[in-house]
Amino acid sequence: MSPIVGSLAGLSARSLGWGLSAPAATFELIQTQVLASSAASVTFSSLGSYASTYKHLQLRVTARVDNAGTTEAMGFMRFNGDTATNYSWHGLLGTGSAASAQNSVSTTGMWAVNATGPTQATGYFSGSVVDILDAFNTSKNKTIRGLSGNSTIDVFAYSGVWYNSSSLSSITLIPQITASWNYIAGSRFSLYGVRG
Amino acid sequence: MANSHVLISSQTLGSTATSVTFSSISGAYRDLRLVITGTTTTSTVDAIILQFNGDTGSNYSVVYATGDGTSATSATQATTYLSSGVIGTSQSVSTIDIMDYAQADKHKTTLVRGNTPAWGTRMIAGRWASTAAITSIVVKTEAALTFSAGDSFYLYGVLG
Repeated sequence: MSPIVGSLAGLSARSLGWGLSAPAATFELIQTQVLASSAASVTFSSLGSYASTYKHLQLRVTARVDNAGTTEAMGFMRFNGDTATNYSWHGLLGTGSAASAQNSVSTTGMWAVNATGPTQATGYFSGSVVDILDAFNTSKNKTIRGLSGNSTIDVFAYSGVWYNSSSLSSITLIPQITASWNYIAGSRFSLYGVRG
Repeated sequence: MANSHVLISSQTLGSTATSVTFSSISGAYRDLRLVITGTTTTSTVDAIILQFNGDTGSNYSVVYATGDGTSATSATQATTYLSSGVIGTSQSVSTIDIMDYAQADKHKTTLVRGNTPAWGTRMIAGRWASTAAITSIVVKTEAALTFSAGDSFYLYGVLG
């Protein structure tokens, strides 16, 4: 490489005055909650303040529950505090011995975040990655898609819908709808915003 | 606000190889995401496998489900490596999320979507039963096949 070309290669477009700027960040951390003590639910609130910034959200979770004798909990997700039967979900479940279709229609939450239980090895937390599409778009019902599981019990790919076009203001995760289980200390919940 | 999805390292093979290694991985992130695109030089399909920190013990386990166009099946595997995707002689892509990879209080959990469009799709939940921070990753195929020249391996860090 000639000395002149080599020198130019070390200059940025901005320093040359061409008006170009570095690409804007498109995937940004909003908040991480790592539980210091057990909790019956985890909520991300005041999300409306992000409506003008992000199109989509992503939730990344490692979770474990405390209910004695439990191998896992397939936790539920709700939006804006709605506990009515305004949700549906469908998914493909692999249990290690069979693959099957799962669903629930007009129910009170979306099956979304797997959590290991006390019968599993200490230190083993389930993983989940959930995308929430067009979270603040007021002309669309809110849809999610995700992958969740733990290597001992199952893996689950799914989609879900909240039949409501309201802009998202909160997300609540609970380990069980029909029982009072808790996420244990150390469970981690990270929410990201995706620009669009 | 800073981008929370950061490219740590990428490797595109200049010639065929039977393994790819990422080493000296920083603990600065919350999760890792490994994306593998490419083919093998032989065989319709094989599993992509990972080993962490040079551990060749029986410390890895997965449950997976596969759809191959004619049936959907599921199986488990507990062995000396972590099944983490699929690859074959047709172009394939696997995305591997490694959760809390540097957390000293947790085993390491993986979530995988593997696709070889000419063969099928597989989803996997995996575990490395170790609380050690992951500092290196070796990528191979289960049958010790050869990755093709041009195959790409991207390692991202996810802040959190």
